Amino acid sequence: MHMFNCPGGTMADDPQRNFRSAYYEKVGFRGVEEKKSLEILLKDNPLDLEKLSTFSQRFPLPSMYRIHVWKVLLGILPPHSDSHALVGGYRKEQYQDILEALEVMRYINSSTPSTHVYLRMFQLESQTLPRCSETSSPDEENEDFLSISRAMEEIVDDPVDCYWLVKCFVNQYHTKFGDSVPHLPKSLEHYLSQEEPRLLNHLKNSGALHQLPYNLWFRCCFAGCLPESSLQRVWDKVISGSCKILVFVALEILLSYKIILMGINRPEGMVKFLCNIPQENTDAIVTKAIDLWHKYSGTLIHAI
Amino acid sequence: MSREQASISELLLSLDSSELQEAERVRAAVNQQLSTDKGGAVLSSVVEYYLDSSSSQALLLLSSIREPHHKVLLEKLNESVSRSGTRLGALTLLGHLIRKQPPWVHHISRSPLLLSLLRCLKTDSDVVVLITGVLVLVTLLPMIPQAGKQHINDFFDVFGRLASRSCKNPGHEPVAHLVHLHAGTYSLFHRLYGMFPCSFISYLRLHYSMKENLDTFQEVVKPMLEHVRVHPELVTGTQDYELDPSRWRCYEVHDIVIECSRVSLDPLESSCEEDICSSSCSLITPLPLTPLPHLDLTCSPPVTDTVSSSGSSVCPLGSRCVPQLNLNTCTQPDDVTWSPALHCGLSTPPSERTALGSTHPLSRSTSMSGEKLPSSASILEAPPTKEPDRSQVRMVKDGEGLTCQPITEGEEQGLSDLVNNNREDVKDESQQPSPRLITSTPTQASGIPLPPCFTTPHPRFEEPGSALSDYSPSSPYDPLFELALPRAAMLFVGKKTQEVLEKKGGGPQRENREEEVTSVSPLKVLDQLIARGNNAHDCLSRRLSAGSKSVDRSHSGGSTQEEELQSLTNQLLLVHAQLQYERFKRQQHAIRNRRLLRRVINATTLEEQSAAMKSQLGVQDEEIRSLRASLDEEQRRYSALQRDTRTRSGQLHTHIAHLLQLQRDEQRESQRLQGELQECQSRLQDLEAELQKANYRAYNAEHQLTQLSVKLCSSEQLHQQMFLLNQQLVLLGETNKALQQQLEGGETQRCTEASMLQCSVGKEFLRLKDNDVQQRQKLEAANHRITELESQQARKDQLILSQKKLLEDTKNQNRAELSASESRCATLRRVTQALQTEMLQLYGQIVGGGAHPNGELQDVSRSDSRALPDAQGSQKSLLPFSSAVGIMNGAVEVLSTSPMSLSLSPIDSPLAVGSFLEQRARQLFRPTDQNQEEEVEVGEEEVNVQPASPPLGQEVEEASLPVGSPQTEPLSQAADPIVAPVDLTLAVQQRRHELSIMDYDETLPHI
Repeated sequence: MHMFNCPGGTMADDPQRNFRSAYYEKVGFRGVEEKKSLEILLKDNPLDLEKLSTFSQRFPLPSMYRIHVWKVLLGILPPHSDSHALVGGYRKEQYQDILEALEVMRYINSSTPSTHVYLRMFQLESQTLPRCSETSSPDEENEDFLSISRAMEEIVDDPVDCYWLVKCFVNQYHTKFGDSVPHLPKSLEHYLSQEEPRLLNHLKNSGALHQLPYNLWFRCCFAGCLPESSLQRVWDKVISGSCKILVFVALEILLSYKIILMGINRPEGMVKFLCNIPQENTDAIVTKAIDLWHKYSGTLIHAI
Repeated sequence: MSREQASISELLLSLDSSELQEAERVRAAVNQQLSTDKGGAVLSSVVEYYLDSSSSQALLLLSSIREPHHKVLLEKLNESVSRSGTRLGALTLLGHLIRKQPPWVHHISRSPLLLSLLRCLKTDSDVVVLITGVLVLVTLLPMIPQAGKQHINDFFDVFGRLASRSCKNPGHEPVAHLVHLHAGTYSLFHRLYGMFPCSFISYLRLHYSMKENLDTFQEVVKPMLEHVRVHPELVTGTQDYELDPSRWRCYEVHDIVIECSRVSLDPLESSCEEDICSSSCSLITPLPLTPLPHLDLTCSPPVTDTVSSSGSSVCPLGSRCVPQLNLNTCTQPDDVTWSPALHCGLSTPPSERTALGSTHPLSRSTSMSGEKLPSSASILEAPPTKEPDRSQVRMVKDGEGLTCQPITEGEEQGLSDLVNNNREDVKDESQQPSPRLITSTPTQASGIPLPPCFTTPHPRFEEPGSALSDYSPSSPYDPLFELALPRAAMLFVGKKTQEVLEKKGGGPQRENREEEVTSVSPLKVLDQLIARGNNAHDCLSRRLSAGSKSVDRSHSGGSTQEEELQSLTNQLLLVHAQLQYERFKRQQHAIRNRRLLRRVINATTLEEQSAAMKSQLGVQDEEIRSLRASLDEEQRRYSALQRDTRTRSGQLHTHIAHLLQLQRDEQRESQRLQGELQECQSRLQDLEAELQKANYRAYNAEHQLTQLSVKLCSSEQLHQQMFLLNQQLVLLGETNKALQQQLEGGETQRCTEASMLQCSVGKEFLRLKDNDVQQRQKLEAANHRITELESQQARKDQLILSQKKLLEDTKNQNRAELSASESRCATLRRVTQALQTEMLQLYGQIVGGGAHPNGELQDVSRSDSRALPDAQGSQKSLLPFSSAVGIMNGAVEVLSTSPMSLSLSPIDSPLAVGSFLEQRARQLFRPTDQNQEEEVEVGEEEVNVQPASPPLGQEVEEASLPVGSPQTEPLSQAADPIVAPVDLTLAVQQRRHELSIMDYDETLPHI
């Protein structure tokens, strides 16, 4: 709604575009129109963050613009495209500063894996860097960070961008959804009771409901659970401001492997299976989950 | 094997022992051996034993042979039949066996035995063998009717051969044998005719159309044909059909036998069953009766009776027997010869059998006696004519008893008693004449070689006379018969009337009848022969038993006696065969009778059922009748009710019509009233309108009246005014007059003055007009000016807005950039912090590791680390001023030494930015400000600020260079732990400077 209300080219050919996009969708070319409209959005100076996030919520992001949009949405790049180069420079310098400092301090060396480098950098930035002598094995939070950064490393090639994206993603996730994350399991239970009460009952009866890998799902945002190609579509939605999608992805995973889960009675077995779900049809699961998410947050669809 | 054989033969020898127990034991033993016999050796030995001894025990054993052993038996028999020596014995054995009807009898039709039997019949010349064979064949035929298909022509050939043989007698056999042969042929004729009529007739036609066979036909076959009626199959059947084996499927043996006897007209051959089929009413009484005549004929006692009766021809006492026999025969034909013609009362078909039956006893006696005793016949004539009344009365009495039977079934027993009584009477009476008869037999015995003349002319006049005379005087009882039993009476009366008619008809008719009668049944001839044989035997045996050697015997020698004995034994054999055959027939009839009795019982039960049904029907009829009556009653009531309803409905209809009429009237009335009502209403409305109009008029008038009164008042006032004005007018007129007089004196002077004044006024007016135009133009110009200015102002506003927006935009941009660099700065600070911590730690390690740790140093490091946050906190506010100092003094070197603070300085301090912007804004807006006072102020400020401003801009430019340039590396390198404290002290110094400069800056205007 908001996206098309603003003056400019988008408003003028709105109905036609709607018709055309509907047609394209029917034929099977999804994303043709999205790409165009995203390009139009990205042409704006300064970039409208609200419109971008709305777009990202509604449509899948074309992969060629994904990193850019993420950077803009996470505030790594400012909305003014004029200052992108400058700010990008800053970011890079900052990265290098930290990297060098850490090298000097012997926290890292050339053989340190990049994810650990990112972790140290993040710790340094958040002033939680332990003493070099006191370096202990990474705790749970660090593990989350590490898995997220592992996933991000697969998505992004440039280490500077990667570090910044990981950092900003983690920060944004904690600041924005830190309060709502503890409620997500309840929400999952609610939607499961609507979609498949039998499975819910099975989970309840077997006692697996409280042992589900919530940490993997809602703290790591499925990093390490889904392959990156699927994961980045989920993160699109997370970055654009919705943590509800995580609930639906989890729900869809449960629904997709309903038969297998019904066959397992031991909660440990279920958790083990859910932590290592097969990687084949995750794309379909994510698609279904997004559809389901749209269905349940129907206001979003109808509002636009 | 041989031992077994021997034991068998020994056993067989003791089979016919006189001791009963011994015989029984032996028979059981042989039986057992027979049942376990495999190769048929025992069986064949038994057969041979029989052929040798014709033992009855062996016959019994053989007749109990079971199914699997029959083949051996048949083979053995076949073998024996083929051998001429054992042929007769084998045939006799075969006859005995098949009379028992064993279950395997149908296998004979396929066995070679039948073929050999037929062959023997066709080829053998021994009469005894032939007769035995033909009787076996006749007995066998009904058992294997399907064999006709293959062997029919053989049968016919056998028949043809035997017929010609019995006629021509090529082997010059004794006459007695011929008689037997003739009887056998006769039986075969009946069987063949009964079973295969079409084929047989066609064969006869073919065979006897040949000339050489003609006399055979005349003598043998034609008389036989006279004893059969037309077979129905001759009409409906064909040769193929009657040879079809499936035709016999539903027939049993006795069925076929009866079927054959049914077409026979010979009472000795035929059965009485036709009644059963045709007249169901009187079927029960003849049944028990029918066997009786046969028994009479076949069993020996009656034979003697007949003989005695024949003998009675000589004796007048025997005349009583004739009617007795007559009675028996009479009752039989009465039932047997029932035909549709008789039933209808027609007399056209001559009731031959009646005649036959009635004449038989006589013809028999005559034929027997022959021409030799013509006198006896004449004698015979007398007694019946003498005693007609007696015999007739008896007969009528008996007839009454008999004819009553069909109605009263229960008296059956009585009847049989009666018959028995009759027979006993006969016996009693016959016993008396018998000795006399025997005495007469020698003459008859001597007449054995008599040629059997079946067609010999008989004494004609006596027999019919006797027969007819039996019936003639019975007319007085006719009505009684009619009352007692309509049908029987009618038959009886019809018969009598016919006979009477015949009697009246006279000679020629009688002649014809005689002609017909002459063809005597061969069986009868045989009977007589047997009877005579018996007599002869008796005589002979008596003569032999007397023991006295007769002259005859010595004369004739042993040879004649031997011959006679031989012929007698032969005859005995033949008679025996004949007897067996007749017995077989009797058995068949008995079987059939039993069956028929069952059928009768069924029929009676059915009748009873039908009677019960009839009674039920009557009851139901009654019910129906009553129901019908009630139905009628109901209908009547219904019609009455309907009528009632009709009248009631008619009344109601008229009432309704009346009411409708009334309603219509009422409606019309109401309509009329409504019309009036409407009229009244409209009139009322009119009146109301008029009333309103009148009211309106009244109000109008009132209003006018008030107006008029007002006008009146005013007019009165006007009148007064007018009066006053008139007075004034008068006064004014007077004054006017006075003034006109005055005016006429000074009028010219005043004219110039007025024109001058007028001119000046005009000029003044023109001037003012011009002025006005001028003013208006000015106004327009001003207005124009105003709009112009307004548009200018709007443009400016817009410009300002865009500027503001741009400003905001830039601000945002800068803020974003700032935040990025800020974050970098913060990070750097963190890095520094971390480095410092690291350093301090290292330092601590060094100190701790070298000697006793210096407390001061630790303190310093501690204070430093404590002071560091403070310094950082103050840096934000202080560093800008240091930059300002730098700018003021132009000391670029100092700045370069502390690049960190420099890089932050221009942007980080809001105050500095504010002042800078302020100055820029003032510079920008200076030309637009037209206010003098402001100009003055600005001027003053310019004086104060201008010396500082140009280097400041330069400094900014210069300072921005190191920020963009990659001097960050030396910067970070410069951030060595050793350099940092120096920087800090410098910063403190700079701060102090700045403070003073600020003071100077502040105080400057005041100076």
